[in-house]
Formats: sequence, structure tokens, C-alpha cells
Amino acid sequence: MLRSADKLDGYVLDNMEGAVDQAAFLAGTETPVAIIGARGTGKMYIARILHAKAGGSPDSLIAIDCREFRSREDANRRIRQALLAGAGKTLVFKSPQLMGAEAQLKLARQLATRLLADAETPTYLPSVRVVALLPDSLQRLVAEGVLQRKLASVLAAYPIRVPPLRHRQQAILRWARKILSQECASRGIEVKGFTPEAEQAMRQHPWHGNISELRQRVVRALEQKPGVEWLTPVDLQLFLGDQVASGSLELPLQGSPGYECAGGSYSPTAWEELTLVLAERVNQLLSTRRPLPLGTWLEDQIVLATLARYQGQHGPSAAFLRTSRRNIARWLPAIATRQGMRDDCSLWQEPARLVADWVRGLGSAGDSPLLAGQSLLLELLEAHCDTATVDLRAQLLGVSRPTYGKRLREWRAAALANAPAVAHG
Amino acid sequence: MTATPGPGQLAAEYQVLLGEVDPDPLGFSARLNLLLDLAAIVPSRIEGRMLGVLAINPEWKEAEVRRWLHHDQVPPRRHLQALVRLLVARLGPGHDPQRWEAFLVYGSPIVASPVEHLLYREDRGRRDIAARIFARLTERYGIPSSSYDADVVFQRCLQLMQQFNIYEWQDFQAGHMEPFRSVMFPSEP
Repeated sequence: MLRSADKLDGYVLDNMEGAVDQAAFLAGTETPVAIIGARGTGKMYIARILHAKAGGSPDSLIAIDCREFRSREDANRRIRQALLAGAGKTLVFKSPQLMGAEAQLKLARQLATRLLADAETPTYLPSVRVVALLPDSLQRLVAEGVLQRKLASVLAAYPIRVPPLRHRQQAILRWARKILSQECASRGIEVKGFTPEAEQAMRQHPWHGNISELRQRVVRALEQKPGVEWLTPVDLQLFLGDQVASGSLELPLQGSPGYECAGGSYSPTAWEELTLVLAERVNQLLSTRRPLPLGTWLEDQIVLATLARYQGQHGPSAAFLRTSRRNIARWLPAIATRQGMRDDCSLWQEPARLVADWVRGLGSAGDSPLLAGQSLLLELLEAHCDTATVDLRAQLLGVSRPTYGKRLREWRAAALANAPAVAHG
Repeated sequence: MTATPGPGQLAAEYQVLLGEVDPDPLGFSARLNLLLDLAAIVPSRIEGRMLGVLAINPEWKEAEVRRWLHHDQVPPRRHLQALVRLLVARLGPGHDPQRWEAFLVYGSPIVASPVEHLLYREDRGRRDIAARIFARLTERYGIPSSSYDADVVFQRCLQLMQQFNIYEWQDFQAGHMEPFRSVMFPSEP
């Protein structure tokens, strides 16, 4: 299983274009710090540096995952507990923009005044260091209406921007070699390195998923090719076709109001990448009339990614998927029997990786990711309703023809009723 | 080429713009508190910073100082300028109060951080690389030590490393030699 990158010691020597310097500098102040970067860039790594430079011990860094808050009350309660127990600690708020507006404002008020909210007598917060990890610039998140202006302002003293990996070309191979050595050491195996073609492919790849994506590809290669001596582009699933697909994402968005973002260039979200890749797979399978059950595999992958997110715990996974624990237990044997087919299908590797990325970054609120995945695939299949038969579309969704019809009606009804969209991360 | 607008048109455009005032830039209070942290002449945020700032000028009211420290309200220009000069004077040489003032009001990236150069200079690892580059250049081009001020040249080297994104020794390439030489030793032929 893929481990969280920030839990591994001995990171590669990479200054991340000054982010490390800035973290070290801000460690000497009481300023709440925003660390801004796209998914997988190493924001938590920078937070750890800041914490260490401030003299904190590893166990006094407390990560508060705002994606997991169930309600405003839950958010306020857990933040209050963390603040009260925060003396000498660093509180790292992951994705605070996913909290409700009221919870954001309350946190902002407490950080601005350094006074505990809802205290009977004015009570100062303990000496606690606050860090927030955000996916995009404060101005942009405010403009999108997801981050409250007051919280953004509290965090706006001197934000640290962690650049995407593609902006640090010289660091790509250093990270790749470091990750390979870490993963080999943890598995007790020996791999000599990357072939020159693999290194070339890595330099050319856009790495929208950044360091996390690099690790995912290396881990998958090691799992799929035990005993391999050198990793090739094929092992890493870095094909020219994928690079063209990823690159083509940028073109239609250039010049649009949302194009400029942190770091000065567009980074697609995992959902956007997944949508594009699935659209290509649907198109390819329909044109070749190859009936792979994409819908079933997509649901399998969402369940597996959710279990990975919650370290295999069925309770929180079921809550996240808006289903019961019993259902999860019931689904798993069938998911396991399909594992071989999914792993052996090269067309499925990229969607599988992106599903994991997407699920990892989602908030807990909103509709079930299973529903979002199913709706996306239905939409993509229906775009071909003039050229592909209902039978073939149903096969690609992994259901019978009557079930396809039923799901289509439900999907259309939901679209008509303007059902609230699920958060896509 | 567009025709020059007449006074009437300019007045109309101005009135439209007047109604479209952008919200204040984010984070004035956060940056003011950051400067107060760095200057270290008033107590920390949980030890009565408000009283410490009020003591600087007895004419200030608690409510207005609270707005400056917590609610992003920018003080009147006269007070902001004097306060910034007072605080920046405590940061040591090399700090420009006007740049700090602009940074407090607009923040980065509109105004580049006034502390960026300090981050780099304090890094031990980077200073070692700068020393190696310095030594390599003087050796390669046969530059005598009597022809330069070592401290000035060393600072130029650090600045160039920042501009060229050189964070490790292997980032320094053969092609960097000439541009580094021409900037670090401009008087050398």
C-alpha cells in the first residue's frame, strides 16, 4: 500500500525554490502560515520543516484534516479542543477551505485576536503555532467563494508557495531516485535504477499529481514487476499518449478567467484529469466495441481508494461513501476477484491512479463519491448515444440494459432537479 | 490607434471606476503583526501586544489600534509611515521602510517580500556553495584577491544563486561561470 509521503524521513535535497527557506524564516515568528501548492507538491513536508525549525518535536505537530469535519459543530468542537491543548504545538489545518463558512469565520476570529471563542471570560489561546495547507492562492480561493475573506486575511502575512514539480525540472530525477531507494529499502529489495528512456520520460511528463504521483508510479512499478533490475517507461506507465493527453488539458483553459493560479500556470484537479482520461477510455472502447466494465471497475476503485484513505477502517469508509459497513464487507470479495482483470488492463492504470488521487483530496460533505463517479461515466457514455448501442453502453457501465435505463432516468431526474453537485476536490 | 478621449468621456470613465473600488488587499493586520514579531519591541500577541502598541503613541485609541492589529484597517498614512520607520529601524541595516510600508499594505506578490534576501543569506548550506563558486571563479579566471572586496562579491554571488535557483552544488553548471564572473567581478576584463 502507498504510504503517505510526509511520513517518510530522509527527503530529497530540494529547496523547492525557496519554500524551505521561507518556512525556516517564519518559524521564528508567531505568524499563522499559509502553505500553498497543488496536490502532491509536498506542503506537509514544508509544514514539518517549519515545525522542526521552531524547535518542535515530531509528536507535537498535530494535523487537523478539515475534510473530515461532519458539520459546523463538529468542526468548532474539534478546533476548540486542538487550540486548548495546543501549547507548544503546531496545528496544521489541511484544506480549511472545505470547512463551512461559519467555522472558517470562527477560526479566523480566534487566530486574529488570539482569544478563545465562546469562553465565559476572555481567555488567550495558548502559545500555539498555526499552519494552513491550501491548494491555491488565497486570492483565488476567496474569489471562488470557498475560502472566507477573514480567514484568508489572517493567513496572508507571507504565504509560502510550494511550486509544482514541473517547475523544478532539475529536481524530478533527484526525487525519483530518492523515492525509489526509500521504497526499495522498505521492501527489502534492490533495483538498480531507471533506464535512460525512463529518465527522459520522467523529464517530459507534466506531473500534475507532483511528488505523490511520482511515488505512486514507482510503487506501482515495484508491485507489478517484482525482481526487476531497471525501471522502464512502461513500468512507470509513462507513455507518449498519456503525456499528450495531459498536455492537451491546458489548451482549452488558457486565457479563461481561472487560468492563472498559484505558480502562474494551470494545474488540473484530480477530478478534471480523471474526467479527461475516462472520456478518452470511453471513446476508445466504444469505437473498438470492446465491452470492458468501466463502471464496475470505477466503483471498485472508489471503494479501494476510500479504504486506503481511512487505513482500511470500514466504519469511516462506509460513512464517507454514504453506505453501510455491511455493504463494504459484502462488496470486497467481488472487488478482490476483479483485481486481476483491472491490474492486467493497461487502459485502466491511469484512471485507477487518478481515482485514488481524487478520493484522497475530497471533503466528507456532499454526495457519495460513488454517485459522482457513476454520474460522470453516464454523462460520458450518453455523449455517444447517437453512435453506440444501449447494450454496449450498459456493458461499459457494468450493468444490464434495464438497470442502465433505470440509472439513466435517475441521473436525468437529478440533473433536472438541479441536485447539488458533489465536491470534486 | 484610439482617439484621445475628451474631458467629458474621461470624467464619465472616472465616475465608473470610482464605483468599482476593489476590496482592500488581504492580510494587512497579519503583516503588521509579522513586522511587530520581527522588531520584537512590543510583547507577543498573547502577552498584551495591544497595550504595547498603544504605549508607542498615547494619542491612539484602543479601538483604532485593535482595527489595525486585527481587522485589516490601514492606519492613516502619517501614522503608518512613522510606525513602520520605528519598527524597521529595529530590524538592522539593509531594510527599506518604504518597501516595508508597501509590503504591509499590498503584500506579496504585488510587492516582493522585503525579507526575501535575508532568507537566503542565513542559510549555511547555500553559503558553502557560494564559497565554492567564489573560489572556482577566482581560480579559473586568475582574479587576484587585491582586486575585489570579498564581502561585496560574496553577497553578489548569493544574490545570483537566488536568481538562478541554485540550491545545490549540482545546480551550478559550466554555463553559469561566465554570467557569474561578469556580475561578481564587473571590473575584471
